[in-house]
Amino acid sequence: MSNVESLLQGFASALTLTNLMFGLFGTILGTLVGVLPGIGPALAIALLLPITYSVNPASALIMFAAIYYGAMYGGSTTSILLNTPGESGSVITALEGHQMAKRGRAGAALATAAIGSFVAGTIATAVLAFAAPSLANLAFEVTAADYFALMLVAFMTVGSLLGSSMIRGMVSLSVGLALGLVGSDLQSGATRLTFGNVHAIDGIETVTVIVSIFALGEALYIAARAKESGWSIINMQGKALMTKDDIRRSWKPWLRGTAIGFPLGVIPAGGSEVPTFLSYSVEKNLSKNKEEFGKGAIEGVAGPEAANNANAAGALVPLLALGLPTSATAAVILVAFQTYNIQAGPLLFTTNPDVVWTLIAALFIGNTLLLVLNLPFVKVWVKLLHIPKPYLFAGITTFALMGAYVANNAIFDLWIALGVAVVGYLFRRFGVPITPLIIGMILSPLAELQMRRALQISAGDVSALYATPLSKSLYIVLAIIVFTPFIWRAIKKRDIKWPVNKQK
Amino acid sequence: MLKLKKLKKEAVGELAFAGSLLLLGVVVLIDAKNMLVPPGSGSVGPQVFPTIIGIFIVLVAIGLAIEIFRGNLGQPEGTEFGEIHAKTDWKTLGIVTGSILTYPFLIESAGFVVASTVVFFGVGFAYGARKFIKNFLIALIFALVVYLTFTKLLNVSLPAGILKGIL
Repeated sequence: MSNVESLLQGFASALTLTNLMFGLFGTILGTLVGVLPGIGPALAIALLLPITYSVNPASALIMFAAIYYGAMYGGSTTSILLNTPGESGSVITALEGHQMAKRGRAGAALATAAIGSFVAGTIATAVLAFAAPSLANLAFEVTAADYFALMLVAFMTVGSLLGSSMIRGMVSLSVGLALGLVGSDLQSGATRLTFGNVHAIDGIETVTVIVSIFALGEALYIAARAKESGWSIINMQGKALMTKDDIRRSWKPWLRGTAIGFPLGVIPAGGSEVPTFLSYSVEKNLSKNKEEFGKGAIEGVAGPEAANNANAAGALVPLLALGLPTSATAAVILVAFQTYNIQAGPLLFTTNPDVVWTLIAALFIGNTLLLVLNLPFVKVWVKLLHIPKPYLFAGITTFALMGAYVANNAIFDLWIALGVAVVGYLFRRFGVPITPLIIGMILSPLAELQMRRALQISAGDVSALYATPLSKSLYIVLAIIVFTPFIWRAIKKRDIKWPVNKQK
Repeated sequence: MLKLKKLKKEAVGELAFAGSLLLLGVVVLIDAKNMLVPPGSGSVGPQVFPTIIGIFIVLVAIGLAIEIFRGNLGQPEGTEFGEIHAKTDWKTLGIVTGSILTYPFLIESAGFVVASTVVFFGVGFAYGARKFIKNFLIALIFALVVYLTFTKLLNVSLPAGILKGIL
């Protein structure tokens, strides 16, 4: 069956009434989550994972896809009207978008963000629909050693590109890898790091760790360190519409943003910060109205927003084709697959074609629903921001405890959650990023599996790990990622020694 | 020495953090060494990977300590709740921790609704909701809505506890 036929079948199964209801529920929930402070898309999907126990895979995945895109729409709304970017990908949007809102152009900013996200999401999903199966086909020839090298590259990029310093990213990654070890080893049955506790033999529940490191860690951190401050919401006048001139200035940045965002999502480039920033600087350099940048240039909203959405779609390519998550949200979606015993990776397109193609169709549908739903209802969403923060954050905390418990209905999980909450608190206190921990925990058993497969074939000969051309080149990439910061620092040091720079 | 003195104040906490990471690495290594390996585990048994990770954690902990001694301290992260202050508010932290700690004890004996109401009320109070009755009512309604949505609509079972038969 060709990809187009499969996709059409995906649409057919996604477009049932039940599935559409789940899609609708997902878009509303996703937008809600994006607008509200304190919950990101990863946490939202993790909190809703319990429903996967009673809902069929297609419906649940449609809902998660809708949340995935919806949270980004919601995030841009908050950053434009409030200047509090909910997630790293919206930081740039806040920069220009909030300035536009201040000058009474909130409607145009919201419209260019929403339509730009739609355009980027649609194009990127279309590319995804064709790129992921091809990548999966190529991946059939990928050996265990290649996989292991690929995971090391993912570890390094996620660990070193997020957060303020490379070493702190590694701290997060290392704790995640250790958490992934707990429980009985799948291949030999040996128990590891269980300290004699029977509950720990099945390993630590991923959902429990995700909800507690995000929500409970945040709850403790807010209690210890934050003082409530009100926010000034800009009142939006008129409707979220664009003038002809706005559209003329926006469409090229939308397309360029898509072109920048998608490929950077496919390769593990450590999230949405890099592509949105890159898109912003491209638009600034190409613009004829450079002086407007920083004061509310519409190109500076259109480009990064498109890049952000395309990036999110791009991240699904390695997730679906290789089983390799490159962002926290992608990691949670991988966990959702696992609860259904669906193995993401090269075999996915042959073993569960119905599920994948329904998911891809759902991304198209969700994206369209969002455009239709959001622009007219922006003002309704903004009302949500008037919920008093104490209640809002108390609600998130309570919900997170439920999420930690309900995965296995086990009190043991709650104690784990409380321990992880302390880790989450310390990470925030000392500027350690959280995503590497989640990626490390989920990929730790998979990396071990591939490493042992490769070494068992070679009877323990380590050279088997870098025997293939692909693994060799991946290790070169790895070396570049590891040493670039050092070289960069050396160049900077050398620069400072130059006499010209000595003058202040 | 001068450098060390200056470090003392701000960096002690973060050094302790690096220290506990080092401890984690050592625990992983000891666990790997003392592991009971079932026979027939092959040339690459269950100890290899944990040993690599243990060494990695130890190296990262040392790297973090070096970073701290160089004066590159971790910057506290911002939150969407409000501004960050430099001193730890032990009282608020105590109330929130205490509220969360009741949950494992209440969830199965008293049930989901009671446990959730207690946590919501306690955390809400700590965060500044000082109208007791309003806070309590919102907490209770929140718990009930979540309970009913999940048990009746989504077929996810949650412990009913003392409200068994009523809900």
